[in-house]
Amino acid sequence: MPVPNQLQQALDAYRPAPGTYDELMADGRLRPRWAALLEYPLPPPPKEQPSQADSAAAARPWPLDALPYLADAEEWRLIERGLLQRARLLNAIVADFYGPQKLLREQGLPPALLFANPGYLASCRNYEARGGIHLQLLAFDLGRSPDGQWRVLGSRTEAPSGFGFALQNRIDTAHLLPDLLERLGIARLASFYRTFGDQLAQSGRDVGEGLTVILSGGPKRGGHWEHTYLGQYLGFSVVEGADLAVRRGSLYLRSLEGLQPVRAVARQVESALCDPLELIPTSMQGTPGLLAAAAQGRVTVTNCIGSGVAENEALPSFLPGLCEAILNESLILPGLASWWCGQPQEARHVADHLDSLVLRDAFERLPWLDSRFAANLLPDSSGESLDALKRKIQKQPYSMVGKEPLRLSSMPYWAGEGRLQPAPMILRLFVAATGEGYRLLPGGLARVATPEGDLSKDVWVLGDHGPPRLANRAIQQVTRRRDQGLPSRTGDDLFWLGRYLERSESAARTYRELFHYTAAGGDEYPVELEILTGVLAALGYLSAHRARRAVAEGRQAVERELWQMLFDPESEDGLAKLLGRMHGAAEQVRQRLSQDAWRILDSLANPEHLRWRVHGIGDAISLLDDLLVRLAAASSQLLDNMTRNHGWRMLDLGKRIERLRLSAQIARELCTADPERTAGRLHLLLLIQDSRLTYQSRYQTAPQLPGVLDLLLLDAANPRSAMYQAERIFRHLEQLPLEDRSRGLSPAQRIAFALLNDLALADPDRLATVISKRGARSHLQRLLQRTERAAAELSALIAKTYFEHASGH
Amino acid sequence: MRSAAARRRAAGGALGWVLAMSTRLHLSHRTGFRYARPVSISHQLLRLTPRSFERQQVLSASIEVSPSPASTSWRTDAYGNRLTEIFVQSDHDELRIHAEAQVELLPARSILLELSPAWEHVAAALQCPATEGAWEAVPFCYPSPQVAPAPAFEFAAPLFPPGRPLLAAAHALCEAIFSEFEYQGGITDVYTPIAEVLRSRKGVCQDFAHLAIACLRAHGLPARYVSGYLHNRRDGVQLAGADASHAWLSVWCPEFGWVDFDPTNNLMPSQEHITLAWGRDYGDASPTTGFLHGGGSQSLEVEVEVAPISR
Repeated sequence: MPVPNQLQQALDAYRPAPGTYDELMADGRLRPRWAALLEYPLPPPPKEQPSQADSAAAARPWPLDALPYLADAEEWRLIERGLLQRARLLNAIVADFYGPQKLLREQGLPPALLFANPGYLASCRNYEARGGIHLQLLAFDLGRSPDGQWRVLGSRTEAPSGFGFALQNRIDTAHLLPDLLERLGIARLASFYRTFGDQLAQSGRDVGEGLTVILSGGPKRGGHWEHTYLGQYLGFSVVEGADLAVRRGSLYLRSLEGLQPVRAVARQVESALCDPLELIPTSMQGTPGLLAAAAQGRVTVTNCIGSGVAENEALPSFLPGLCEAILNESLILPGLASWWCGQPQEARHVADHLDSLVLRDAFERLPWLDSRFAANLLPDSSGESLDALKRKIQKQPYSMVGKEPLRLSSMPYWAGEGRLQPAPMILRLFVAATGEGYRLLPGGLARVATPEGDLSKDVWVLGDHGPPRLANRAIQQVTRRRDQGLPSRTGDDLFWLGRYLERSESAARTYRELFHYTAAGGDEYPVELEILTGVLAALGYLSAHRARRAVAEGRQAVERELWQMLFDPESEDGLAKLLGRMHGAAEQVRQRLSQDAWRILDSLANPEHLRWRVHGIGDAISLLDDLLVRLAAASSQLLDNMTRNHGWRMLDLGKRIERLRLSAQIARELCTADPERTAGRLHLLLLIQDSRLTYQSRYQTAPQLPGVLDLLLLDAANPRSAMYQAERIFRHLEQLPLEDRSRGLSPAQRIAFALLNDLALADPDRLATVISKRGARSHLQRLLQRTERAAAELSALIAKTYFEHASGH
Repeated sequence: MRSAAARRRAAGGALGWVLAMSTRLHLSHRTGFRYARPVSISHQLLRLTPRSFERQQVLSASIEVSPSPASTSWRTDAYGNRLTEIFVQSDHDELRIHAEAQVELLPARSILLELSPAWEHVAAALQCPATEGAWEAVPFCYPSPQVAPAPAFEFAAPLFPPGRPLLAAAHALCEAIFSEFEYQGGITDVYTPIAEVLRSRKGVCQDFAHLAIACLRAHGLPARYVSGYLHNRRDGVQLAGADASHAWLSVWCPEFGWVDFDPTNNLMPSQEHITLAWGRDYGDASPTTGFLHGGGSQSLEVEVEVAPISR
């Protein structure tokens, strides 16, 4: 039963611009394929995009528009035939470019097309691609010209982006418009992604037993979020170049368990950056030796290194001819007419028609996130004068292309207040190699360029696709995920995240006590002020000169320099540096943290917005209260919600070792020298160690040194005691992989065990009372020094054993 | 590998003449890396074995590495250079590489530069190569990672009037660089862009080779980068870049093949230049490329000795 819905109302008011092809309307009437959508009540578009609510939105290039693009079944079949043909053609061209180069030598293709193209990497020549497939995944950008014909605007063969976004758009759209996909019989995507993943894993199995990984440029570079998303969906680890190593010609993942063989790499790093040894030596994203490993067939790289050779603006004008010559077929889907100036006649044509053509650099790959995609298809979009362009053509003709301009078709998007507005649109569609040849993803990504910025849409392919065989592929996919080797670098980052978390917490607590005493009239507590600034300086949270000023000038100095002491990112002391480092470590392992944990950590490291709140000491104290609550929340979010694997173990080890080190150092600062003055310091010690209440409930007296030492050092039941840390560390070390367990305890375990021993045998009364001739508590001092040394040695040994992997296999 | 004697026998009738004219040189190239902190893994790609080609025959060659590598492998790169890949896997704070070779150099053919074809005809012919030689030359006509020809276009244009024979133009180009640029070490490195060299008018052999290559490629002409060594003749004048690694360029011309030019010394290499490797630019022909774990800051010491072998 047709129900007038919001879409119907919006449609009545929708007016496409005259003279453009509109995807929805023709001559004021709805195009037939859209009628199906109106038969069902559509929910109003959400005020906030679903994914903007979570932190993923920050990483997503464009917000999702709730109105999908509907592709006509018959039109789609044409697109499918056309793109599969182009995929076969481009693969054959790449195979020839990296093989016999017959297209140049026999078919008369101009040599500059290959040799002036920086995407051609001569070192990659003559390596056998598995099954002759150089391009396993391709993306094509399509736009519709005013006459209604689809045109291929460009092809992506290097490392196509958007494959993961298309999947995420589908999942989000399916949440927004439940049931609609099924009722309209829209083609499903899950089996395509599953086949792609299977194919990838199979390409590795053909080489040998080992891992399949996605090679990403890392969280600081583009696309990492998408790589993580795909990795999680397909069940593959996402790694960076530094996580991999080539040993004796084969590729390995540096993991906590040691070097694990890698047999298949889905490459999302640009070819030229893949191997600093053989390609660009300054690249920080690659793995030395990867190219040789791939060339010798020790690992399958998808797409093959060098595949970007087919991704440029010069090649398209040759495709119709090459299609005839190579495939003996005529090209099904046309591109845009283009004139590559590497040929004299074409160069003249371009120079004579500069004002009506679109001028492009022939070999520069446009970033796919270019928001001017619609404007880029119109003349005069380069912003250069005609004279400058002419000179460019004259100087280096082969690097220029003139292209036929294109006015894209328009597609409505939700412009707010339930209105639909037209905006130019392109489609990005994906073709993947399967065991049965190339296949087109029955969906994709539509992009519309609105005045407020780009939006993306899900692409729905109409037709009788039948009900999906399984109700929820996505759930099935998740069960495929295996707990694969943890990259050593990730272990390292988690370890340091743990250390910085603990360090920040201790620094914040010490600062807070300093402010408390200052607020209460620091001048009345000169001793406490001196002790606290002394501890802060000893731990490196406060510079010595600032500590002296605070003692000398009291409240004024503290208040004057509050901001810097807390959150000035430029300051060498203070919390900002610590929080920044913690954030840096967290950012590296973001994919392994829960969203809540990441959100807390992220908010902690951006103190700029808090600045206005710090006017005086009262503000500083409440800010630190808040910070401590959030640090505690981050800790528990991290440690409680992580799977108990080696990653979790590294995080906790980092925390425990840091806590061990800090508690020993703080106790040494406060209790070893000056035995007469100890009493006043015990209160502070308990406060900084967050153990005042525990002490009171247990001893119900004013702090006494033996009791305090027992609680903070020796009591295995107190989660803040050194003993407790040592026990946890020892147990973690038992669980971590070792090369050879038969040799008994590892060096790290021996250190932890010796420390446990020392602590177990220590007598709190003797620690408190044995005083040397120089007036120091010598027993206590020795124990604390041993503890600090153990913490440092443990940290170094863990790094050497698990993070460096120098020895290999 | 065939022995030198076998090759001489194969040379047949010209044997006596060749023996009389050739020079034999012994080459020793020591590279020492010192690291502030120990290196646990060192992965190096070496191009330290001289090439054999028409005017240079390698009689023997060896490379010794200390500490001794866990693995060593050999192959040929895309430009036919001999590559040695070494993998050192024991902690070390010093890596020493000693390459030695004996080479026999024939004098370069005498060339009448003015008889070479006009440069624009060569450029046009390379748009659709017709000979195997032209096909080998054509990858060297275009920009490469360290040679962007466009900035050199204006500097070179006056040297390439229409009709000028290619090799005469190349010779004039080397002369222009030699007279207008000052040889000065320490102000550029292997990544200094050509535009910067053109601005400062100073540099070393790599810069001048890159610049000359850029000028030729800006005119659609094939030029490659050659890395090697210079033997300082006892009787001759002191040449810049002697007793160290040196670099020059080679220009391809139909009928003449590859012809070497040394813009740093304004001469045409003959029996003083030992060719190690060639490629589109320094990046394709660098003697060592390495990747380390650990090490901190490092210092490099290079010691090259070239000495005639008495017979």
